[in-house]
Amino acid sequence: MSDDIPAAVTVEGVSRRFGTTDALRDCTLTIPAGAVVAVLGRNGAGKSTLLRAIVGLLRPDRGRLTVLGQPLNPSILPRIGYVAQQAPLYRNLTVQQTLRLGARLNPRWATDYAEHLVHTATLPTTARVGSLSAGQRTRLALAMALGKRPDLLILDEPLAALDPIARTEVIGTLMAEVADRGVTIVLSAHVVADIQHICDRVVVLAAGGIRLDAETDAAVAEHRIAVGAVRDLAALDGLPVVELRRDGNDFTALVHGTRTRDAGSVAWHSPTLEEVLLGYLRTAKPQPVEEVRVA
Amino acid sequence: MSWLALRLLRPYLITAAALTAAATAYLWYATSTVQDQLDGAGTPNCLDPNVCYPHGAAMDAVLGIELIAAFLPATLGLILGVALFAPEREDDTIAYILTQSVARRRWVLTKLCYAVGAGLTLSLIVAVPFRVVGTRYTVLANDTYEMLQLLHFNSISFMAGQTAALTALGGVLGLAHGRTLRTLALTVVTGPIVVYLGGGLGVLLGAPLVSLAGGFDTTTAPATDFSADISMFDTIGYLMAAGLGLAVLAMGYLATRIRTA
Repeated sequence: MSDDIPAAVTVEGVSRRFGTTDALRDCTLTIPAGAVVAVLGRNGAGKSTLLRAIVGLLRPDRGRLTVLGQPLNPSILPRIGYVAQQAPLYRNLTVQQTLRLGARLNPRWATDYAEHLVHTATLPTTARVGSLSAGQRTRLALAMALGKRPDLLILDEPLAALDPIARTEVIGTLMAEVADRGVTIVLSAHVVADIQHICDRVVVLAAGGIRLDAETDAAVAEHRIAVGAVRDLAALDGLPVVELRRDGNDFTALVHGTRTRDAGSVAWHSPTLEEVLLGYLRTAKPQPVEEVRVA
Repeated sequence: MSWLALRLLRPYLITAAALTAAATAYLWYATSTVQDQLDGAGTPNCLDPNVCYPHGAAMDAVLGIELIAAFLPATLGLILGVALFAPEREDDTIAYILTQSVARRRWVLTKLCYAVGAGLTLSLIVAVPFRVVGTRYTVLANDTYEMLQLLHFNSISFMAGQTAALTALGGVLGLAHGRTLRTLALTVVTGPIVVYLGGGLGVLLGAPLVSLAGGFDTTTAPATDFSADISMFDTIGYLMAAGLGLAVLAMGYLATRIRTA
């Protein structure tokens, strides 16, 4: 992150435990203002917990959070838009009542814009929220979050319930927010393909810890993939191996850094963003060097 | 915000109001049943169980009145308290409201105040006619139903206090646990403890003041008149209600401190 770009969110040493499970372990990251950041991780990796901590829905056991330049406090809520997983909204209210609710609860509410988003999504305004499909509810929840005219938008798996057309429309809307208003967007996702073309920074969580936090271009540039025969695994000795997979007599390894070492059959190439992210997602922690050597 | 709080509580308010209306109607029906029996026996103003002890339908009516006084305030508290935050946490809509431009404290206190206020109102709608009209008849079977009497003390304030305390307790537990059935079970189990601990605290704190003011009960009922039984526990009822008021305030404070996960 460049020093002259202010941080929209800083997370310093944040930990949170649920019972005996570490939902977040000593997480530290900085999200620059105006960035689109994807938070990736497998189920239970801690994505939702991290996002809920950022919007103040849960208090970390340890660590410090700063949002939009301030410690979390109610005065910054008007500047934050949040859509929780499965887009929970009051099922008994109609779409129209939900929109009116947004206007009642938010001083910066943009009625026209929220109604425009609802209209674009072809949501029936007289229908009860409970009767909407999951995708329609997500569209309404997004309209509610964007209607606040937030400076920071936190979206917990917003694309999961959307059909391909809706997905494209939503991504277009989000990108317009970034381009027009400089909104910072933090979104979590399971599917790498959903986010690889829209985010400029990726954070990979595994078992509550941050495995990767990098700009997308840098994430690609700073990794290499080695493919070769298992007998030539020695080529990986001393290299920071992110993931090592074996298929019969062959192996494929994702290695952090640009340093390569030629040995026998081993071939090196640059990975795609998806290959980098999948490598981190498949492994909760770096592959031990011993394992590489033994193999 | 008030609109939303009331809108979310609406089905539970309707249920509680319907229950209150039915209970109040039953109170009138039951008292007229007992009165009919007294009229038939030629003792319309009798307050002495040795002379006009109720029997048959009148006895059932007295039991009904006692049951309403003993359990309706708590039931109203359960309905309103459990519904206060648990469903919102269960379906995670609380994540929506708490990320709007509304302070968590304000939202929690607004809902709690409406629920406690509604609970108090509904409880009073039953408790006042019970005390003013019903106790005149339940005194005729005090010996039979004295255990039930210990659940309401013939006290309007204690009955209303029970509703308020259980509403607040259900709200706090719902906010902390976020599972409706678990909140219901926990409120049922811990409710009596909170009611009698809170009430007991009120008695402990208030008893010295009452003693200074002249003691708990200076009246002596005539041997043939059981009307004093009606107001026998009034002082304790007031003190317990005061203790429950303090408990409600404490739970309101606690509710603002709970962080939902």
